[in-house]
Amino acid sequence: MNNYTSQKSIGYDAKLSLLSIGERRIAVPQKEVVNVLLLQDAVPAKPPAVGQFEYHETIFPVYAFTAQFELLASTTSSQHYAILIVGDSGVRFSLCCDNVESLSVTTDMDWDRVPDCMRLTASPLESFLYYDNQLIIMTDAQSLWRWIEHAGKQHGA
Amino acid sequence: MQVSNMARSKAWMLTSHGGFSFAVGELAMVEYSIEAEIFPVPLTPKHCPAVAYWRRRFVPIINYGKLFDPQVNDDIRQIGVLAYQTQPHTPLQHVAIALDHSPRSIIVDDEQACELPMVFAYRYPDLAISSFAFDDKTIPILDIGYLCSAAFVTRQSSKKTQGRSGPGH
Repeated sequence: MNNYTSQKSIGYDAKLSLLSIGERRIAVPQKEVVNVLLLQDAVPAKPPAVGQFEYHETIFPVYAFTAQFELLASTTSSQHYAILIVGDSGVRFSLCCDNVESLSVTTDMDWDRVPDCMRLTASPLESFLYYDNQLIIMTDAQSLWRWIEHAGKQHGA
Repeated sequence: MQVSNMARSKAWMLTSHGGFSFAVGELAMVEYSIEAEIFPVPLTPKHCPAVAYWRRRFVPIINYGKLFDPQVNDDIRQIGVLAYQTQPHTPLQHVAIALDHSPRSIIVDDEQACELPMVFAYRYPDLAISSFAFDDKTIPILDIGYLCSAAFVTRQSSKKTQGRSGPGH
């Protein structure tokens, strides 16, 4: 058996917002996060959104996922927070989570892009990060929105 | 004295999780591990449900047995890490295959060449480069680059929408 090296991919923002959704940990660029609000302050909205926030005169529909990225019709008991995020195209929405932390990317962190053999249509998974002995899934607002739209159609919304 | 011109090659014979045998070239096998850190990943093809954190990088884990038997579970404990190139003179890529047993080093000669199992012609026409007879079984030699390609995922997805067909392994 042989020892080989392969190309590593390092990238993304220097600072990340690290969301916990059940056992899943998801990171998004911190520059896309405009605020973190208490979910209990959301008002009702049309499904598949589980609620909405009005923030600086802009509506942010709120979406809830399972740890497997399945779109939920209502929040889970552990989801107390919602991050408000804005994508490159200007898309604005909010995502429920159990907890939010800030994470600074350092050069000694191990990143890998999601390989071709794991990519499905509309999947929001962009990269994997090994941090704190865990797998962190790196994504961004635009990729999450693409997935929400795809999953919403699957649910007939 | 008779001199044989028969070509002989070293290879690794692997038994996937779920019990399906296949072979790869001698240089493709990098490491066999029974203690890799394995992480399930959502929103992935059914045959590629997890990654292994290996030598400070994530490598996808192919649950090869699931291509032939959807009942094969994702309780993966053993992996074989393989190296492959998508093009000549490009960096090596790595992938892990879920295994049930440790790899077996074998020597194959041209005389053992035989036709591919029918299931490859029906379901996975480009997945095996060739095959050979070994221990009363037909062992496919896999094209690992194709197994790990976007083209293979696309083909699987399009077949799913068309409905599944073809015989079992």
